[in-house]
Amino acid sequence: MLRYLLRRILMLVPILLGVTLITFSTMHLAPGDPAELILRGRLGGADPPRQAVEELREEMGLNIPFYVQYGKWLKKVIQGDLGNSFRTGRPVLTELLSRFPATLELALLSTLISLGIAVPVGIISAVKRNSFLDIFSMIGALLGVSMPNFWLALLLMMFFSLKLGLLPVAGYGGFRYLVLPAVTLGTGMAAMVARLMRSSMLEIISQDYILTAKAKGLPYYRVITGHALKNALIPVVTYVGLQLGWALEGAVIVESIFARPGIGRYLHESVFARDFPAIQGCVLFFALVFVFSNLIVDISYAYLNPRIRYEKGME
Amino acid sequence: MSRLTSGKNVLLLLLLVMCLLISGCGGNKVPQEKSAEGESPQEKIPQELVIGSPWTPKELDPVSAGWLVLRIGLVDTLVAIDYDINLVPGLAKSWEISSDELEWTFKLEEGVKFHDGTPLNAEAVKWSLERVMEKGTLFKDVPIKSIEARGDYTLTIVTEELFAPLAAILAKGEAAPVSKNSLDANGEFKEIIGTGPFMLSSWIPDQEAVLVRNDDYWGKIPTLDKVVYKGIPEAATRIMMLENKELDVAQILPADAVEQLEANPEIKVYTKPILRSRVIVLNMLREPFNDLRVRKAVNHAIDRESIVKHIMAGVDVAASGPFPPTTPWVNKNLQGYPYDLEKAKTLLAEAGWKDSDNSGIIKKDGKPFTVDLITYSTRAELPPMAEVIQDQLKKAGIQVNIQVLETGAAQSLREEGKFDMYLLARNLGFAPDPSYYLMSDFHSKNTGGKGWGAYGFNNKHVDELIELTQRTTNLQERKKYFAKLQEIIVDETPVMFLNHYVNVTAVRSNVQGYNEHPTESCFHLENIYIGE
Repeated sequence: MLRYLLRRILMLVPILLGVTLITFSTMHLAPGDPAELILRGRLGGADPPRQAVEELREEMGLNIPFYVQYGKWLKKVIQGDLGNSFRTGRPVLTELLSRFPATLELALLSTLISLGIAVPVGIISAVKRNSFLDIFSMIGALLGVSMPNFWLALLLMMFFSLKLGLLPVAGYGGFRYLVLPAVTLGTGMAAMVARLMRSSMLEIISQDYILTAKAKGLPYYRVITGHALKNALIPVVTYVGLQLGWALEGAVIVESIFARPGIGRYLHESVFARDFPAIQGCVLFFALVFVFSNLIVDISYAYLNPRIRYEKGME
Repeated sequence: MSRLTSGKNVLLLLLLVMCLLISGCGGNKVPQEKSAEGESPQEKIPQELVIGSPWTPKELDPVSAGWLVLRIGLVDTLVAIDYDINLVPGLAKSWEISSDELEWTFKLEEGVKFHDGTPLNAEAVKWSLERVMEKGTLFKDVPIKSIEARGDYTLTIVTEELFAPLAAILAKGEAAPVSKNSLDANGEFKEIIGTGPFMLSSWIPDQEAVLVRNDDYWGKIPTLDKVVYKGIPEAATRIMMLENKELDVAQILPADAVEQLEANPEIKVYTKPILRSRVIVLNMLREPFNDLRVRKAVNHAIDRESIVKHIMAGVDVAASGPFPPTTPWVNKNLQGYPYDLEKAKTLLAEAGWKDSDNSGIIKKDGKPFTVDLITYSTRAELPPMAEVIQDQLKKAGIQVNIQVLETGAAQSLREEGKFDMYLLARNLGFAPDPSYYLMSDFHSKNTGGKGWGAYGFNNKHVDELIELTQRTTNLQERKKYFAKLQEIIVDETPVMFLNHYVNVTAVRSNVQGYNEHPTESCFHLENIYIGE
């Protein structure tokens, strides 16, 4: 187990290097001279004087070779210095950290919601295969997958806020403000997870040991919850880990619609303002979350399925 | 055994999730705080206003966010702008220019205090303006030689050469005086301490700024006790929040929402032309738009009224010149280019462009009339507008290829001259003085590639007139120059003016006194109150 873990952690190094390289390149791949773009942003679109552009290029170190710039930048990033936002002049790390709670609570609650919907729906669909319930829930899942976030968000606002007056339309604060965004984000995820849960469950309940359990005379619900569920959950756990990255991606849209001050919205606004340090910070943050949630998935996978850790461990 | 217990764990977890969900929904049946207040007629109506705007309060230092702090009434400027876009006294009750036209002397209002109680005097304004010179970009093209306090309430700005738009530039929020206590011991901006009708109570960057009334205000004391300015990026969300009473004012709404909002008796809708236009810049450095006849022809081939009607839901105003009809300096005699397809075809034929082989595309020397139109999508209406223009020009036998790009990429193409037509939205009111815009968009010094104005336009007469407007303080004379400039620019048409923006704002019906400023410089919250 320990060797497996070490191996997985060591593998993160090249991945993270690749991520930082791509992140750093964003500024250089975008059209136009970054120094000039920054100055133009500060001048509200007016032309910056040539000399000012040159001075800023010098100050930003844009005149030295690319790999040297990357090295210097990487050194700072490792020390936790992501640079200062072009727009506000505040450190990007501070900005990210101040927005992190809003995004974290959204990602967690939406994941919980998606599991809360998907796991029971998936189990019931599998157990009552081809029944009315199964067809109904799978059509629901299809709808959920196909429905764009922003559209669902508007529908939820209309129904729960305008019609029923239960929840505020948008904003940030207590739990009341979190429900609609989390449901919006969670529903899309739930649809995918439910389908996965169903097919995984179907596979498990056709196995011999389930037949044995049934033959022992166990009540059917005990067969499902005690014997089938844990095995059926393995692919779902993997998927949910990956979904966390998806939740962050969805947060870009959902946070903007619900006016939540999270990292997704920060990225959205930074892209429009061409605030490169902020964009780099957000991309790096998203990549880190993605990489580490994958690591956690791998670890929990090894825990859930002993075959994996033994195979890898004996190599 | 262990398998069974972990199975139970999973079940427990699921149960927990369900409980959370249920408790989440149940906990929200609390009645809305807002609707519960102020229902009984005996009680005083709470004077609280919540504004939702797409522009979030990111920072509050006037040097960089002057536009915002002036809008919400945290600061005042020396010179103010009235609703007819005339410059009127602000913190300066009067100003005059010396006979050599290099010294501007401002007499300040006496007895004005900053929010921290320190007095506003010439010394304080001098300090503030010098900070703008050092830190900001507002004065970058202003030939300021020195700023002097020549008395407690007399401030003099000396310029290297006559610069007529100076007073207009001082009307910008960036030039608003703040107290020295706005900075910390290291000279870094700490908090906003201005002189405006409202004071900052709290602020969450990127979310909201909460303001309270300044009871010691030197001008008209506001009726509102409290104002919350919120950044809500999505227009659809702003509309729903307004309908749900979470907002009292929803700003910058899409034109196609007007009809729906007007049908709601609890909501009032305001539409106001502002100083921003949609234009097409023509590349005058290459064929076919180096030919005046062709430029005029495409102008006539575009049906501006139809664009306004179909893309802007009939809300915006079709343009016949650079300035909207509501501005004081507009040349009202301009006819612009009425839609006339036959005239367009005749002009094109005169320039040698004919549909010789009946293919539907006109040609000259065997070369088809195919042009590249570039635009960007950050302003959502531009790409569909480009498609309508493509369709309209096709009727004149012109083939238009549209490229929708990211703003920076579109600018790069422009700078390299790799375009024929560039559809964009242009702000005319960076300073409430047209010479600022005319200089940056039509003076031959600025039409070489960069910027957002004419491309390859080089007209000596226009250059001279623009320079004259910068060197003349006589209003009547300036107006004459502006009128002449508009005439030449429309006639030479280096830029095609399509339509002028109209801001759509909706408010709850109990909000009184809301009046959008045509330069968007200030909300004048001191005039707003809640009442039937």
